[in-house]
Amino acid sequence: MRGKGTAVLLAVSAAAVALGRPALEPEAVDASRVREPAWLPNGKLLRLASFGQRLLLADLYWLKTVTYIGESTLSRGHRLGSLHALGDIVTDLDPRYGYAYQVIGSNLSGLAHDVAASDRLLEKGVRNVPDRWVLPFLLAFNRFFYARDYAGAAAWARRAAEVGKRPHLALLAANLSLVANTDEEYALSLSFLELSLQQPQTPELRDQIKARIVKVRTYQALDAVERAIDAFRARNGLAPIVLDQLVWSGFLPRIPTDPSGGSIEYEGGTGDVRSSVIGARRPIRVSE
Amino acid sequence: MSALQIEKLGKTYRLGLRMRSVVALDALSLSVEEGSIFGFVGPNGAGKSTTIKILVGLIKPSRGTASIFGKPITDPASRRVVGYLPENPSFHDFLRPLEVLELLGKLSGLAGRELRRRAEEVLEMVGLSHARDLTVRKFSKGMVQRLGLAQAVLHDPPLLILDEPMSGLDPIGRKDARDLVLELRRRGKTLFFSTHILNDVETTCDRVGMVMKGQLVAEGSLGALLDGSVKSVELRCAPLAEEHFAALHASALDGSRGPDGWVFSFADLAGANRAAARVLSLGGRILSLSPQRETLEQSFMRLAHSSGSAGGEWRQASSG
Amino acid sequence: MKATLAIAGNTVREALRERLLYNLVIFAVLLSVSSLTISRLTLGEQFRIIADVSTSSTQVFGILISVFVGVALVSREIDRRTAYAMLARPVSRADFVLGKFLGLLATAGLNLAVMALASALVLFLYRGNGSFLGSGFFVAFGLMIAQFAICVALAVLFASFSTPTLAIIFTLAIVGAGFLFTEVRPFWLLSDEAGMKPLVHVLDFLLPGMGLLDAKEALTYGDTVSLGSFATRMAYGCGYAGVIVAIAAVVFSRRDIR
Repeated sequence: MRGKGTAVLLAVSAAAVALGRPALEPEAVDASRVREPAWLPNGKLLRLASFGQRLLLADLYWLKTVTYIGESTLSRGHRLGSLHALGDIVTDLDPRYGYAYQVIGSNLSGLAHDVAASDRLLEKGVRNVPDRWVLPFLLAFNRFFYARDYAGAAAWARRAAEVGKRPHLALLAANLSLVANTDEEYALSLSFLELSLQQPQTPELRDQIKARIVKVRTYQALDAVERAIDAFRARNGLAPIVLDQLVWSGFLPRIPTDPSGGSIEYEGGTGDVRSSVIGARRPIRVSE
Repeated sequence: MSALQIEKLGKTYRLGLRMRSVVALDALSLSVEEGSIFGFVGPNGAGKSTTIKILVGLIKPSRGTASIFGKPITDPASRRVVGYLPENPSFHDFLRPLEVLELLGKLSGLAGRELRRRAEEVLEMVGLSHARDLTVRKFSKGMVQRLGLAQAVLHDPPLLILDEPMSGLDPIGRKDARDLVLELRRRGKTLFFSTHILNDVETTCDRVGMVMKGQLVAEGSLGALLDGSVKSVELRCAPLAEEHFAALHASALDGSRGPDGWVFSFADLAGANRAAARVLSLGGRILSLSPQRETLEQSFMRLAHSSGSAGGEWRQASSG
Repeated sequence: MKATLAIAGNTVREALRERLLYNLVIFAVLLSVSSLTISRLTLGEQFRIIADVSTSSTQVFGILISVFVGVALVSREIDRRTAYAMLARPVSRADFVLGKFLGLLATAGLNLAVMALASALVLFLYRGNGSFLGSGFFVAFGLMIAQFAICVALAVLFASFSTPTLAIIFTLAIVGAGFLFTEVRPFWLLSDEAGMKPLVHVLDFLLPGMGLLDAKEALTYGDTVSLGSFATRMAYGCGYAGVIVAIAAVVFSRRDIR
């Protein structure tokens, strides 16, 4: 009797499994699908209710974020719409979580294409973890690559060079200033490079910085001449034949000397200006 | 100086959220002379334990004062000279008996070799030496009670306050406990113990205090408390021919046919004598002839009724 | 003092027989060890996750042990009437309360030592060197004893006059409020509402400043903590616990042991 009962139980249960499992296939597919975290709390409120365990909670949400980024990347085409919320939660729980600012911030711009959110998170990171140079560096990248705000990029790069004690970043900042090509940027860049020179550096780096100062000065000089040529052309309809015309017509007080030690050369036909040592002003450019 | 002096001691509990007040003890006064054994009797819930717990500092009195050898009980130092056995004592069940005694001995200011010697001594005294390697968890109720007695006498206090010392003991244990009480008295200790088993009192106490509903209803020497007069006389004889029972019964107050003979009770010795002569003349055998005096229990019931109290739950000890 | 130490010693002995204690300690240690696996789920900064899980589990389970064992061992003395034979001796109620507190604190200290050692081993397994053993490590774990002292003191206080269940609820509520208050304090201080600032300053002294004693971050970020800061916080924590124990002694002195 008992054996029979068990057999019936087994048969019925096995039938339920055999019939039920295939029917659950849509659910099985769905279960592995990337989805937005169903509900994300406010990080600040979560911190209030963390009872001293905010670091642990930050880690948990960080792991969730890592999984979210990973799954979204694998599934392609996913928009990562919750990434900025996750970033806020993690960094509200632990404002000193530098690595989280760094990874989430770069992925917000790189993968989620939300540069504004990336900037916001990175700037929060700079406020809370001021000694983490990667954060201003990533901001510089965002400014340069997505916003094409070269002066802004240069400013963040200088900040990164400063807090990270990384003079290479000063060189990068100088390049960004060259792209920005404004009087203010030239001045800021020069003073920052001079400052870097005062700090102890390796001889190689010292030479590099010095060379970069010369380059910036040369570009500054070339830029001044170019702008005078543009103004001359705007009034007279054509470029001057010789540079001295610029001085005669009052567009330049005098022709600047070449800071690279060569001379400033001018081609009357094309209106191109160049330094005899470092050539024409040709900063790196992002193709439009 | 009296070992124990209690003046108008009272305790009112405030119970529950509404602070309903319940009088557990109402102006109790008594004194216990050094070297005597004082039995503190009364039904359960009469206030015996409350009194004792006040004396050893477990409960704060609401009114009145008490002192032990002249030291007020509010001073913890007064308890240096007291050995206390709680009602249904309980000890940390993970300890072995000597460890219990060493812990409690330290609290009484004993230490080192002296403490170890005393612990061994009292363990022997209460007959627990064989159980020295067991933890208290494995103890029977009687063994725990014995350990309770051991810890009470551990620091050789001149005053012992024992709450229901005989409860939980088997007949052998009761005898041992009674012997211990008498031995302690012989050594000049003062004993104050509560019980609701009146047998214990009759066999050991010099003086008795009866407490009822928080009040002391009687106090005095055992003799003074009991009405010494003969209440009745009981005659027991071997059974005779059936027709004589009715005749004997007629002259007696009461009569019955039991398995061990006929029993008759008479109002006085003279009536009993006449009946005995009659039994003998009929060729019967007298088994016993005994005058019946008031027991403590009867005395208590009498006092309880006269004080308008129901007397509560009473139990006569099975044997001792 | 001798009596107090005797009671403390017996309390440690009793506590070390608590199964709950071992369950929680073992669980905490297992969590620390499992953090080695959990940390693999992340990219970069694995150390941080191991450190966070270790310190958090030590703290949380240490607090739970302090509260539950603290309440149990005090109320049990009354419930099982083991306190009777002790309190009827020339021992003041304050001696008894202090003895219980010290015994429970010593137990919490032992737990902490075990859990901190386990955490150190796990961190060492991950790092392969002892570079994490800076002041941050010792302050993060060291200050936990002050947190546990507060928990034990509150447990003793509440157990000395209420039922075990209520005592556990009260203690956890106050400790929780202490953590919560640390977080809301800055917002309340910024609030424009009248009376908020005085309230904060009253609560500063009323509630245990658990957040001030919580230095887990120092291990996570390898912060250097000055000896002065450590000593001040330790003094605050032990002082708070001391005040609570004193109150417990007064409350317990007034209690009738029926």
